[in-house]
Amino acid sequence: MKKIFSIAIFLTICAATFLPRTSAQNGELNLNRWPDPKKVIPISMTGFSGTAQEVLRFDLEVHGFEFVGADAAQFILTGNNNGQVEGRLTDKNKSSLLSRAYTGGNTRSQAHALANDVILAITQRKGVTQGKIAFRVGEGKTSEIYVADYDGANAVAVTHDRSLVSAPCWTPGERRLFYVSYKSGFPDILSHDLSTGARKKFASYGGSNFSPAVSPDGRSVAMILSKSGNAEVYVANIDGSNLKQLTKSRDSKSSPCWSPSGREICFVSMSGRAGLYKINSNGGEPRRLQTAGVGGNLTEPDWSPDGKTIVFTAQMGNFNICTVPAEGGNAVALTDGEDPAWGANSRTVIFTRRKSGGRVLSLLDAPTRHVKDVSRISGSSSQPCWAK
Amino acid sequence: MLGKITTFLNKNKMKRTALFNLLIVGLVFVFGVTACKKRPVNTTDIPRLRPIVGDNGRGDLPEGGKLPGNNSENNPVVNRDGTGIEQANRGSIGDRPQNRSMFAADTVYFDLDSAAVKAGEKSKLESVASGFKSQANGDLLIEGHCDERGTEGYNLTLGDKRANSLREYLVNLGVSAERIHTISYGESRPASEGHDESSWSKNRRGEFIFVEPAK
Repeated sequence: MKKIFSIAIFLTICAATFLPRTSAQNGELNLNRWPDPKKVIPISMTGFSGTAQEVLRFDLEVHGFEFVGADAAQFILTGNNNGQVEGRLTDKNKSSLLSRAYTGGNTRSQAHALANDVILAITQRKGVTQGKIAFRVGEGKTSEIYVADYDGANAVAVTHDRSLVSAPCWTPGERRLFYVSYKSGFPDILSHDLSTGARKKFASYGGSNFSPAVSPDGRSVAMILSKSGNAEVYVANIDGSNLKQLTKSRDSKSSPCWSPSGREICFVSMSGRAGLYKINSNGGEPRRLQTAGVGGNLTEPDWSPDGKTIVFTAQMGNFNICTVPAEGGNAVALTDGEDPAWGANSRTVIFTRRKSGGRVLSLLDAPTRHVKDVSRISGSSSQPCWAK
Repeated sequence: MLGKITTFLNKNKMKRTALFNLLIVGLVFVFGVTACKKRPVNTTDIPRLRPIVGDNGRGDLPEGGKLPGNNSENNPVVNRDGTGIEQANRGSIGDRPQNRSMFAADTVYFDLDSAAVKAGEKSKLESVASGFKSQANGDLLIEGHCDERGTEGYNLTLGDKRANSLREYLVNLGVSAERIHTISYGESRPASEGHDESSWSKNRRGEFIFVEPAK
């Protein structure tokens, strides 16, 4: 009896030492099961139906997955949505990576949660499947701000002014939007509490009040004002105090965005052609961002949450979504489109595409360059931003 | 009950081992089946989402924040350092009637991607300057517009640049800077809805609107 016990202990120690991918090791080594983000991830999926199947398919395709038969799959997702969504994920060697059931919410939100867990289990990075977006919907001569899930589901109009709006921006960690509204007859920057519906004017100077961008710490707002007679970048505290003009020249400025540290602001300056510039958020001289390899007007920059990459629109004949290292360098055109915004994973980019009859929102998986349209609501959708 | 079992087990030592083994095997089997076949052990509960609330339907937009001079009474225009001619606050111009016909014939057109006043358009600005100067009271509103070929963000700034370019031209013709206000609509108010140069050239424009004086 004692002998058997010793052998059992010995075998257990052997297994723990030599078998890879024990759960403890995963935690320590942060094992990425798909190290090359540029390669699509072949996955097979069985057992789901209806909304759950649609949501999982959309979410995983947006995050660089490709659905294949079981023989070609590197990962196998099985499960069901009989009542609640349940899923099991294994690799092709049948090692279990995930086994989880989802309660609460509805089938759609449960499926988004499962998709996120699948993405996390394989890439070690959370997806944006549970993200929310705000955007502009134009219909005829008016436009309104909408909020929706990142795939376009559950869209809700948050303005009903039958005026013009633009540039929604989410306050990090809060249910508050800043956006531009022409409701007063002039472009004002408003703040809008999404829990109560209460709105306030934030900036309403003579000239333009455009393009609010809340800092990553939620304590400051960068914006474009033209009260000086020229469109310039300004920064104020989130309560409106301490307004400071950051730029001053003959060139018109647009589209400020923050570095994730909050120390720098990237913006557009038009001297002849429009180019990208960076400036310290507490002032100083603007510095041109080198963007070798792309030409035309460069506009609408957005800084990735991991700080590494700036995505922007280049107008070279048509519009191209491009990326460049945040310190400048070689820029790359990824796909046709405009007004890009990084998701929290610094991988998924939401942007606008022109289609016959208006504009639609699309999602780009930057490493694989896969593009999927967000489900369309009537009218022309543009200027998407993520809830942060 | 427990006491009885213990007594029973103590009395039958051999049987206890057998019974225990059986019990453990049984328990392992039951748990194993529950865990592997029926449902995953781990569950995630999706939190209930609070609803998104739109505007409250009232027409009012209260002043918020502490931006200095925000929408207060007109301030004197002092800054003329070459980077632009400072704009006065809007005061009451948003509340007064607008006369769009007075300068309707003087709409100025621009080249693609440019805010420069073309030589052929200068006579219109002279006409606006003399017409507006003859009005002792009231304000002038300049709208800047673009065609659809820029990005929406870029076009808002280009419209602003066009309106301010016209404003500077009028100030240089002797019009009071305090009386001229600008508004950029970007590409959102086209004069012509087409998608070719004949429409685009009509949409790249600056319009002049006379704002009646306060009564």
